[in-house]
Amino acid sequence: MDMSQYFGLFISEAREHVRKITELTVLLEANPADRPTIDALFRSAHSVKGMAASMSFTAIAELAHKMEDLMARIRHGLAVDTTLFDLLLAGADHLSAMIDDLENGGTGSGNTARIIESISAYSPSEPAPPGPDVPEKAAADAAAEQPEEPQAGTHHENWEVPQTVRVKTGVLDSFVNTTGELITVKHRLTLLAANCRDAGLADAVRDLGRHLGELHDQVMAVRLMPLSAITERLPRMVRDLARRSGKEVAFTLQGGEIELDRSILELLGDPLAHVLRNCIDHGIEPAPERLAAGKPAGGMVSVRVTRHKDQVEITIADDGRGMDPESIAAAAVAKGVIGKEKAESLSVLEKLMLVCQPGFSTAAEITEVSGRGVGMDVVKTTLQSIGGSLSIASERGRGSRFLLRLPLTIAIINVLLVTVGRLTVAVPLTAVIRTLEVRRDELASIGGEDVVFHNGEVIPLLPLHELLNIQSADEPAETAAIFIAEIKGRMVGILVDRVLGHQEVFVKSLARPLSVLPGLNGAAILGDGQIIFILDIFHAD
Amino acid sequence: MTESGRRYMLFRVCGRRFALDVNEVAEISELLPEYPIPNAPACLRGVVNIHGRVAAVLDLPRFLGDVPAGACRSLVLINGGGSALALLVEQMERMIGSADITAIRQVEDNLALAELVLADGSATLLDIEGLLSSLEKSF
Repeated sequence: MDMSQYFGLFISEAREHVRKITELTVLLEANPADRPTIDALFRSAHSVKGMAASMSFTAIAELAHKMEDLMARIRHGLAVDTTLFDLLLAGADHLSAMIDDLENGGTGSGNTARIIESISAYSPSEPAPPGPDVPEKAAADAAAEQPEEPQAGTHHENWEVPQTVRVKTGVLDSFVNTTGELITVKHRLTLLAANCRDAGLADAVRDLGRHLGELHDQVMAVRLMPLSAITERLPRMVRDLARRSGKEVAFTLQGGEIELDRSILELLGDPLAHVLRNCIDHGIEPAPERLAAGKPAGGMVSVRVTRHKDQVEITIADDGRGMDPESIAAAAVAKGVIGKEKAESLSVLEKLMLVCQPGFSTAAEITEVSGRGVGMDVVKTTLQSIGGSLSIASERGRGSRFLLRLPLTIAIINVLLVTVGRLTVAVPLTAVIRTLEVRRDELASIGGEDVVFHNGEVIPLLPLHELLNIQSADEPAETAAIFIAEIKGRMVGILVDRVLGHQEVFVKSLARPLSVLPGLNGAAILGDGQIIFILDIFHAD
Repeated sequence: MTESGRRYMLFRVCGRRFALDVNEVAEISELLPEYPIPNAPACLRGVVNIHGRVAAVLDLPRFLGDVPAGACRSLVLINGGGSALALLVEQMERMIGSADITAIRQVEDNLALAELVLADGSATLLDIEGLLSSLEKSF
């Protein structure tokens, strides 16, 4: 596993813990019986040990481990005397030097044999000023260590301010909100400037817009984190699940370096875990069954992440027994989730998606994640709430694929504004291939389907008002406004009343009940206060 | 559900009286400009902008199968739980405590938690979660 991306994080976090050890030791010296301080010292040493071990910086891990052991013994009643403080401080200094060395391209090793020996040999006299024997020798040894270490003496006078800051995510969230509000205000100014017909004002507003755009990009970049932040625990989870169910499962992950807004990442963890568990529990067959079916004994579960413009796609696939749309539909009818006639009228995809209906998952199928039940219905609604979507494909005997689509960022996107009847709606510009305006007499009908000829292609037409179940404008204009999109692999022309133009909007995510309404990917507030909805044309039908 | 210490807000819409646990109410606001929602049932009249949040406005009587709400004066914004829902209200009434409740009748209705019997009539205690689930099922 490539750990290099965690290097910078390790350096800053380890430094922080070592600094804390120093600070806590001084505190403890003032108040040697203070239990919370002792516990905190233990935890800091423990953290450094863990981090260093996972990065294979064994020298650092070893020293931190010895310090952790020492604090453990103190927690369990070993007496505290002044040599303890000397040892802890000396240990912290060594750790600090080793971390510096690492940062400067060294190996992070150090001359730690003596300090480790001293720490292990710690044996307090009465809990009072040190006695003359062993403890003093240990302290003297520890003190003597220091000048031998390269750069060891310098950190006491190091007043350098850290180059990174830790920021609460709530603060980042408010940055995003404020940036969004600023952009909305900019739109208002644009409208007002247009009315004023003042060129200077218009220029100033344009400049403002440009800077706001930069600010927005910077703020959003700060919020981005690689998907691996939540996927790194998946291999272990898969392994444990497989073992528990007595199956052999290999796991692959591609695209973990792709970055997403952290608030989306936060929501993704449980759904990902649940889908994977579904694949392992229900999808992958036990080895004998697989062999009988001519498959290799071990099953495979994969997570593949790709990015398309402002969307991220996560595909979770297994090569197991697949899902049977008919038995799912039958089960749904039996559970009262859906009526028999409705079930019969569903497409294959719709039948598979029945597993996401609330009431479909039985208790046995709901994953206990941190005490909360997460079923497939929660997976779907979680995705929808952030403007994403879920679809399922499956083949009996071959396996299943769960496709999770997510927006890359949740805040600001470019949209095409169109009107249908009295409704103004927005379509993400990334979904729009082209806009067209054709005369009504250029439209044709082939086999009962309305089409438009464009670039030598015959493109089927879909009136948006039918998709949205609303009334179109009374009088169709002489020209037809169309935007072309690719839906389920086909080029489709979406017919609207008017194309108003494109602009950027600040996306407001929808809460219940609107978050469950199909076909919507959030809302936005335009410069004139109008609330419009952003359509998910891929799933509006 | 109706232990002492709980307080309820009463409001009227379409001649019916409803009660809401005070904890379920985020805010009461005057009517705001509504904008239409594509693909939504008729009982969801539109969305409004409440402090930057996009909330759906529910015509409760219409949802219950009655005549649509008449002249409404206020919106009751429901509190949290991942929801942004506002109920149309013709008239806000008073706030009551459990001492004002003379009896509680159970009801077979997934939209109501109970029927509260008061000195001057009764009020249907709304089940917000039931209401949201019912709405969502109807989409």
